[in-house]
Amino acid sequence: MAFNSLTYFLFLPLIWIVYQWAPDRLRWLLLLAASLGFYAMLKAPYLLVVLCLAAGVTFTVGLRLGSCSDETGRKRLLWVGVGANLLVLVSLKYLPALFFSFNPSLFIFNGFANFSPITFHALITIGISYYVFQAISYLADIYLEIIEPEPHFGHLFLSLAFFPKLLQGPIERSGDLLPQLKKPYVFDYDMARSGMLLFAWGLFKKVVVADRLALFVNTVYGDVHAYTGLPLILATYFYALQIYFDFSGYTDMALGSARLFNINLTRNFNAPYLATSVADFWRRWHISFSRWILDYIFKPLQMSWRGWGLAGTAVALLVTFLVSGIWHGASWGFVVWGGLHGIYLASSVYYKSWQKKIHKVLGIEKTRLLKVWQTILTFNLVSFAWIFFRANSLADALYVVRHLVEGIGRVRAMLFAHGTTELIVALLMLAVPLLVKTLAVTSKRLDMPFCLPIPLRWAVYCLLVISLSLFSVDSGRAFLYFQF
Amino acid sequence: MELQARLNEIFCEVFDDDDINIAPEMTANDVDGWDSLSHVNLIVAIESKFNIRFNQKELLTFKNVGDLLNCIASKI
Amino acid sequence: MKKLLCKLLIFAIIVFVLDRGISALLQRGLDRYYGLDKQASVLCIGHSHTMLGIDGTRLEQGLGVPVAKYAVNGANTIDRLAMIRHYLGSRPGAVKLVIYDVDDHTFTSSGLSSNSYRLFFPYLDNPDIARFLKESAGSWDELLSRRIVTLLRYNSVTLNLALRGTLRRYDNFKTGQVDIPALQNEIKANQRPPITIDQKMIDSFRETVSFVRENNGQLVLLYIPTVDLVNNVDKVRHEQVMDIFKNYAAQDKGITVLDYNPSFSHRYELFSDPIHLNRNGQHAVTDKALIDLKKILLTEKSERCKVKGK
Repeated sequence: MAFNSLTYFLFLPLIWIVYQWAPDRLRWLLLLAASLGFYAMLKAPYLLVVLCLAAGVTFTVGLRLGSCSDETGRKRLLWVGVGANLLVLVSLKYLPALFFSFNPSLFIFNGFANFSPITFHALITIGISYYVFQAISYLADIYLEIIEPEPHFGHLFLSLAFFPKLLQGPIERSGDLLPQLKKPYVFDYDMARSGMLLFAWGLFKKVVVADRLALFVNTVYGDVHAYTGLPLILATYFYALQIYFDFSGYTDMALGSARLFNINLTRNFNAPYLATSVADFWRRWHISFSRWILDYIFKPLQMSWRGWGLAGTAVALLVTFLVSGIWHGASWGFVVWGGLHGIYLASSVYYKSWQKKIHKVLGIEKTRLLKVWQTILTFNLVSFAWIFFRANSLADALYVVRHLVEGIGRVRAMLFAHGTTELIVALLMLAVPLLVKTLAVTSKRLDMPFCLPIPLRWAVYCLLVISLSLFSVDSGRAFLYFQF
Repeated sequence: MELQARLNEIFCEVFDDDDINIAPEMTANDVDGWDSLSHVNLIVAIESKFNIRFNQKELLTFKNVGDLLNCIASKI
Repeated sequence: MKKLLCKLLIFAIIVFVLDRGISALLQRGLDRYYGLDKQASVLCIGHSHTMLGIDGTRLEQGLGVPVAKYAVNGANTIDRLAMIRHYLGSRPGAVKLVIYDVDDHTFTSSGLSSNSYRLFFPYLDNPDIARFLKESAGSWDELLSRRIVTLLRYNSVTLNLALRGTLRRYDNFKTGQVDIPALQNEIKANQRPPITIDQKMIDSFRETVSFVRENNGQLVLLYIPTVDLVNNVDKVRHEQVMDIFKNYAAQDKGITVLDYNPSFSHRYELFSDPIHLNRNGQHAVTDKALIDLKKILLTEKSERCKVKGK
């Protein structure tokens, strides 16, 4: 079930209430059952089988790994565990695409229009990419002796299947999540309250802001050949904002849901479009994922190739981000997107030192002007890459790129395609998170809005709920990152 | 102590900063400019100066300067 | 924990009050916009062609009887049946004349308006509309969530109309003129939506006609003009559709077909886009409609007097 559905609005409080009155030693079982039930609601029974298999294999290999002291034996066990997980991921996500002669439109939804994957007769693979990666990190961390293997199968299973993060992450580190799952639960008023607010805020970002931007993006990207010039640029910028609000909205809902159970999941976003370089962007976007590829793909590769100097690092970056592209889906659009980011980062390895020297010479190092310029440049580089991510096909993406700078085009048609009211509401609602962020930053208080006086605070809550009711966009329910 | 002094020299060279004074509890956050790029340079410099080779596992589990020192000591 | 639950309860009550309160205000505005706040004798039913093509206030002034303009963006034949049931059902006997806008695409079930049922959510409490929505709704929770939270019933379109109704701004704001060269290119590139005749729409239309006649209403099938270039794209189908309307009129004296294309479809300065009139166009068409409708109402009156006299 999607987080923005009536079913979830009934499911979450129900589970929470039962959780309050359940005996502490059975609480993990309740959450596990709820999580499996949650996954089962997708009406794809093979998914549950896959999850159980992955959990089972990971648990067994983990224990063996922990008790084995022979280095070669350990290495072998690690590769068996990782291999099994990857096999599951690859065979479900990529083989169907290859089998049907690499026709991505059949199975992997490149378009990310807001339509429910459940109505489509394709192979649903929601969640697999996330918990497989988490399982691999669990095994790798045992191998590196960062954590001890988990002796309780239920706890490990829950750490993989926990419903707030099951479908779209964050990708948790077992070292962070397992201890929290094992702590005895005591009702915490502040956690519950902040969890609910975070959930509502995430919902707002998704159904009021992101889904509304999607209307404009879909108008253009759904029929690229009807547009040239400015509409293509605007649609791409809108998409950059859309995917941010969609994914960070989902993440807020996940974190908010988890907080109700006193679990703190990892932050996935940190104002990504304020990044001053592409490297900085990846420290702020989908943080749990980029840390994963950094720790388990980039760093080992970089170290293995350290004899090649800068080239070693550059190639390691390229490979890492190609993998990132493929992880998002088996289509050329994603591969190009990943490759672009790989090129951005690999080339910075070479020009970074020159760049620093030039800045020093020009005397602009550490100036505000430089920072603003770098932020704008980074945003544009990232947005350019999003073209390949969003377009329905590689051909469409190339069309967009070729016709980006071609005058004003049918910009009025695009902006007013859904009526003037929709455009006005879109711009107003887009301003809301920007305003909120600015207030949060300038007030320097970490406990906003709870430090406001009660009437003002409750006015904010009411405004949020009323806006959700009045301005939510009703166009299917899937989140973008569902597709991975 | 001699080991720490030698390592300190390498740090100063790699980070181009003569004022660095390493201590076992120091991490990457404590040294200005210690990122993934300079980390590789640091490792390469250490390996060539001490004529040792770290394995993959060791490289991925260094948490601070102290770990580095212990590992080097065990190899020379 | 008790503290939290208490606060949640109080919050829920406040939200409930706000929800119902704001909804009521919006509903009032929407009712006024559609003319659902009066007992109209003349009911204009249609979609954007009517919204932009007919000036309800002017019609009311000219005819001297209350006129309601119940027109919703994208309303297709099936939607309109529900609308007519809604209006006539809630005030039996009031409506004497129904002006139903028709065009080449009356019997086409297009993709764009397939979600048009969503525009009727604000009237979920009306039994006729509720029945219609149950048949059209996508999933079980779509209606349930809107019964619980009434503000969910509104979207940007209905919000806009509700505000317009509240502010009594019923006018056609469009002053621009249709871009003829662009239209010619579109036609050359075969980008105009095709005309189809779907059985579901035919059946719906037939039901609509019967319903209006059963309720003793006269029916005027008004073809609000569209640019002639558009009409000429598929002349064959155009004639087929017009024949269907003419057949209805031939078999029943209470049904009249008014085709305003001959008078206006060549006057491009009256159109804001290929199929919608601008402010001047609305003025011109409403004036002509006044003349024709007065004649029809007079004939109907004299027929009734004749019957009474007997």
